Order: sequence, then C-alpha cells, then structure tokens
Amino acid sequence: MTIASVTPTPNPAPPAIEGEAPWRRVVREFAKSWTAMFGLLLLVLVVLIAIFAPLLSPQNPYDLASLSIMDNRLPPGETGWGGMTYVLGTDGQGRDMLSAIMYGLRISLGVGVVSCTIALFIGLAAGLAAAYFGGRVDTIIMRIVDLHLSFPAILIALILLAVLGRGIDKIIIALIVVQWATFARTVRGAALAERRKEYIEAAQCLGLPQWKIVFGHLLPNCMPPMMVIFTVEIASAIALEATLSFLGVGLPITQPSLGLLISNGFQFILSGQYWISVYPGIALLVLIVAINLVGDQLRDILNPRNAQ
Amino acid sequence: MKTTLRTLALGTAFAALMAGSPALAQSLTVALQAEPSSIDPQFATTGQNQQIALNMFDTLVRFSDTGGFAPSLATEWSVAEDELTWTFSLRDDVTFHDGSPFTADDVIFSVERVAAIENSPAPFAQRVANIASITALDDYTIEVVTTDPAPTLLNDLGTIYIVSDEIGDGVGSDQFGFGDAAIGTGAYRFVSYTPGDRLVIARNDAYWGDVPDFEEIAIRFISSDASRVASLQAGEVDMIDAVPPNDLDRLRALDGVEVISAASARMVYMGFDQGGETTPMVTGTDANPFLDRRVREALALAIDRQAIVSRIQFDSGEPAGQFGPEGIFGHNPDLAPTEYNPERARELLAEAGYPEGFGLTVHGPNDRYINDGIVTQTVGQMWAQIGLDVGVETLPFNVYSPRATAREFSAFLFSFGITTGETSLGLRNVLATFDEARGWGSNNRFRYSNAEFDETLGAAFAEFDEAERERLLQEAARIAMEDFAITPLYWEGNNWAVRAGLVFTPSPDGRSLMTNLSSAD
Repeated sequence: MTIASVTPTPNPAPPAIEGEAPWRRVVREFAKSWTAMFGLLLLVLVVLIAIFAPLLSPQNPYDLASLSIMDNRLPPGETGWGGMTYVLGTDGQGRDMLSAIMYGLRISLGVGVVSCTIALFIGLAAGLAAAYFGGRVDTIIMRIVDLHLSFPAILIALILLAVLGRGIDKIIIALIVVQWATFARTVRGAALAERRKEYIEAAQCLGLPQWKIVFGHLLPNCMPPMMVIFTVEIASAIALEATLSFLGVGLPITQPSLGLLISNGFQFILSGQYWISVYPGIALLVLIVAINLVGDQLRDILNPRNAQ
Repeated sequence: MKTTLRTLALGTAFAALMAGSPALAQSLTVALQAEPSSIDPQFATTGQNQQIALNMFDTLVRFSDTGGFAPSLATEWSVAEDELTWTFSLRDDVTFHDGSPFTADDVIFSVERVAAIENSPAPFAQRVANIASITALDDYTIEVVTTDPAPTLLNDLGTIYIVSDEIGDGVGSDQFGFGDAAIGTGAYRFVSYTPGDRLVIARNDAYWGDVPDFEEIAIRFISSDASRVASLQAGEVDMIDAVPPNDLDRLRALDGVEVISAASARMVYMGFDQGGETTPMVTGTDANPFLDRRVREALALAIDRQAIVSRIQFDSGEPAGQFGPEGIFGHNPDLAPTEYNPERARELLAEAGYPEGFGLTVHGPNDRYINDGIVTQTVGQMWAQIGLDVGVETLPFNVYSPRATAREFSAFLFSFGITTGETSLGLRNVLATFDEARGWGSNNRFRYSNAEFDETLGAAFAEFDEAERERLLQEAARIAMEDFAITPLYWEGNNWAVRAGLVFTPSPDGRSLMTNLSSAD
C-alpha cells in the first residue's frame, strides 16, 4: 500500500544512506507511506483532543451536578433546557456525547499507554533475563510465559477484575498482567539472536560487568521490535479495556470510557437512539485504526528483513 | 393474526350459525414473558403460575379493585366471637369444566391437597398451616377452625385455587399439563399445553361470572424481549406483556398497536443506613449523617421523581410516596410523594450541620429493575446538585444483593413488590425493627427502627376488624414516611401492548390475565 509500490522498482526498499542517523532513516521511510502518515496525523489529533479534553469539551461529563436528566437521550444537534446545543446528542443520563467521547478517549488512551509501558518494562526484564542467563532461568520464565499465553486474555482479565473490583487502577493492573508475557516472549527472541553476535562476545571478553552488557548493549539492540509490539499492544489494550467496560466489569459508570459509553447506549439502539452507541464506537474505531496504521509502518521499517 | 385450520373452520361454522356476532368466534394468540412452572394451580405461589391459574381456576375470595376482598366462590364469610371459627357461604350455581357441580367437598379437597403438594419452590402449604379443621356444614357452607386467632385467614385461605375433588387423591402436579386433572371453575378451560411453547385455553360458556369474548386463546411463552415485540409487530400475536420500556415510545407511535401502562405495586426506593454511629460509604464527616431526620428529608426533597418517571421510565409507572399505590389495602390517601425542592434541601443540609455537604457513594443494581443503573446514577446526580460529593457504583444484582444485606452500603436502591394486595408485608419486612427471631424487618437492610411504628404495625397484625386494620396500616405508613425512614422513588410500571380492536384492563395485581382482555366492539 506504499506509494513506492505503485512505480515498479527492482528494489522496493532502498538501502540506507551512508552516515545517516538511524532515526532520520526511520522518519524518511515512515513518510513514504501516505496511509501511515494519515494514521499518524489522526493519532496526533486524537492524542491532542484527549490531552486537552477539559479545555475543549463543552461540558464536564464526570461532574454529576452539571448533568440534567431532563436532557437525556436528545438526538444530535438538539438544544437542551440549559440552552446548550448537543452536537452529538446526549446519553441516557443527560451527558453530552461529544464531551463524554473526548473524556472517554482520555481514559482509553491513558489506560492503554500506562498499562503497556509498565507491561513493557516487566516484559523486558523477564525476557532479557531469560535470554542472557539461559538454562534454568530461561526455562522457568518461559514456561510461566507459555502458561500465561495459553489462557485467553479476556478470561484472565475478567477473573482478575471479578476479584479486584472496579476502578481505573484495577483495570490497569489487569491489563498489565494480561500483556507482560507477550513482551517477555518477543524480547527474549530478539535478545537470543543478539546475544550470539560478536559485539556481545567482545564486550564479555573486555570484562564489562553483566548489567552493563545487558542494559548498555543487549537492550538497545532489542528495542526496534519492542517499539512495534508496544504500539500494536496499546491498540489491543484499548480494545480489551473497551470490551471489559462493555461487559460491565471495567470502569465506574460515573466516568465512562468509550467501551462503557457503547454499552450504555446499547440498550437504546433498537429503539432508534443510535447515537449513544454509534459515536463512541466510531471514536474507538478511529483510535485503534490510527494506532495500527502507525504500528504497521513501523514494523515494515524496523524489520531487518525488509531493509535488506 | 395466526389462525389454525381448526379455528378457521370453527370460525366459519360460527359465522354461518351466528351471523352478526363475529367477536364471539374470535380466537387470539398472546405472548407472555414468563412460563409457569406447572399448570397445577396449587403448585407454586409465584406470579407466573398464578397469572395462568387465575384464567382457569377460582378462589373463595378475590382482591377487589378498591383494596380489600370481594366475593368470588364464597359469597359471605364471618368469624365467631372466639376469633377462631370462620364460616363461609358458597355459591350454589357453579359447575366445573367437566360439568360436575361445585360444592363444599371441593373446597375441603382443595385445602387438603395443598398440604400434600411436593417439591414446590414457593408452596401454598404455609397458607393453610394455621387451619386446625375444615368441615362441611352442608353442601354450600363450610366451617374453618384455626389453631390461633388468624386475622389474615382471608388472605391465606381465600387465595387458594379450588380444584375439583373428582380428580381424586395422589394426582401429581405434572398431570395437570395433560388436561385430565386441570378442571376448574374459571372463565376459561384447559385445552392443551406444550411446555416451553404454548398453553391453549378455551372459553367456558357455562361460567358463573362474565363469559369472555374470545372462543380460544393460545398463550405462547416468549422470554426474549426482542422476539416478543417482533412477534407483535409481525402480526403473529395479538397481545404481549412485559413490553421493554425502551421500546414503549416506538410502539406507542405504531399504527394498529395500543400500549397500556399501569403503575404496579412494586415500589422502588432509596434506603439509608441508620444502623450505627458511622456508615461505610460516607466521607467528610465522622458521624453517620443519616441518623439526622433533616438529612433524610433533604435527600428526599432533592429528588425529582416525575423527571425519573418520564425520562428514565418512559412515562410508565408513577412517583411514589409510600408502599401501596391506590387500590392496595393500607394505601394512605394523605401521603403524597415528596415534592421536588432542592432549595429547601440545601437549607436542611445546612441546618443539620452540613452546609458543604458530605461525600457519599450511592449503590444500586444494574440488571434487576427497569433501567435501575440509570435511576441510581440520576439519584446521585440529583444529590450532587444539592452539594453532596457523590460517587455512584452499580453492580449486577447477584453481587449487589448480598453486599447490601451484609450492610456494606450507606445509601442504596432497592424495591418491594406487593403480591398480597395489602401493605402489611412491605411495612413489616422493610421498615419494622430488624428482629431475626420474630421474622420482622427481614428486608430492613438499613436498620431503621422506630418503636411507635413497630407498635402500630403490631396492632394491625392482631386486628380482626378490617376497617380498623386498614386504619392501623395507614397510620404505620404515615409514621414511617413522615420520619423519612426510606425515600420512595416510584412504582414501577407494567406495560402491555395489544392489537387495535382489543382492550386490556389492568388489575391492581399487575398480572397478565386473559380475563382482563376483551374485544373493543
């Protein structure tokens, strides 16, 4: 789907220019795909909306006192009692859908990024330890990972939330538990490949301390595939959070995320009040598609097989 | 309308014979949400069983539309000076569906059979537990002696379905499904039953009361809300019950469909923990604010009940100010729902020492009552508007209910549905001081306790004179409501939809009775 593929060339991915900084190459390669640039643009826009939601949104949807039940289930464009016009309508509680979506994006993105970052660190530590030390450490860690990955993510998350209860911290914990194993397995694969390379051997011969080899040499070289996995996992964390909220075990109802907004509107959808479910659904779709577009292109660039 | 070949043939034959009265030959198909657990009217006291039984069987007395009891198979009753001996006079013009006459022996057989029913999830047996003896003085008079004075005997004995003594002893409840045993005196007679699908009943032309308009009614059991509504819209059925509230507006707008809504006797309320000096879900104060009557009154004043009924209940149901709606025995006509007055609520909070409010997490179920999750949030919203710092948590009922019973909540939503036609059980179970040994206050999860209330209610339970008993129940309701023991929100609505040309007249019990269905012309 890249522009380069439209004009047939014998070598689709041109070799890196001599002496070019790696990040420059990444930017240059990334910009070649207009779908990825479109995805990035969307993502930046969504992130900005999420960050500045309190300034941009017409209403604070989490402030119960500012909602009016007399304005509930108003169709998009309708003006309520207080004279406020609801561009995307209101939900069953009288919440402005536009504001609720902006705040919902904030929660969805926040939960996704925070849980993935922590899961990434845990996964890195476990994966690197397994790959570097090998032997029994490797076996123990990787069997735990295998066991973990053999359960469906949604099942683990559901059980955890049933035990822990509701709340934003609880759902982040559940997502971390679900995701760290994926990171651990990926980083172990990458690290195993790197570990056999000569520069590690050279570093060991130089008598460098182990922590310096692992964090100074092994880790940076494992990062490219991790960045790809990280991006894609954020998207799946957001989708999983939405699923859990839809099932009613996620976030508290007074602070709806996108999944909870969809769930709340679901009961009205057969009665023709589509907007309560549909607009948060579109917002969720845009967010996940944008992240995946960016993630796909990153994978294409950072995959060494494509660069040769 | 769905017509089988047989009913079509019947209809044609009738049309030929009795031209000019087509309504009499009409047959209907009706879809109900809940299927009974047995066709045996004496098997269980559950709502879905009784609403089927009432079509085919009669009782000695029935609930009158104005509260209290009206004659049915019994024409008169009286209790002797000893408060133990009751005499019932029976109708002498009633025959069973098989043509045999109804006599005192059938009543005695029915009462004795009740105690022999096995494996019932909700047995009638406790309703006859107090009866020491039952004898026939003649064919149409019976005498009942109770072991203790039993002011509620009419409610207990009077609501037992009378079956024919012709069926004999030892007939199991499952045999009623085949028809040989399902012989009653009711307005409709049993035709056939296919478990999980339908029950077919036909008009009893020899009925002693008003003979129904319809030749035959097939009652289908469709538990899925969406399927039931779709069947009505597709013309497969002529009436449905339990219309999902979120579909009310859409069905009301449809041509050829009539929606009937009536407030039920299920009152949804907010309870406040008044069991101790502290309460778990309140922050910002060391005390339990709900011990102060002014706080309870303020929270009651802050709720716009009409808005909840119109915006969240889709105009079905009614704002409530007590347990029993009009038509229920013990309803107090002087108790109106609390007026919405947020200004006064803020003043009262300030007077009680909470000018800045306090922190409170409100709890409610999210899958039990109609839009209960949204109602809970709305109550929280209205309390936030008088200055409380409100959080809301809603839970599935099977998680919520045990936690509420374990008294983990401070302000929470619950309901009580009256099934006995009077307010006594609601007042006793919900508002009386919690006393496990005595069985009082079994639903009093917030531990309200008021000696004056307990005394008045106790007097009502010992009173034989119906008028005085009602006055005492009304007085008990007044004491509790003026003390803001709980905050009643609304009576949940019951909703039916019928095809144009049919009339459904809801009775106070909210049951989907075929005897309440008639033809418009």
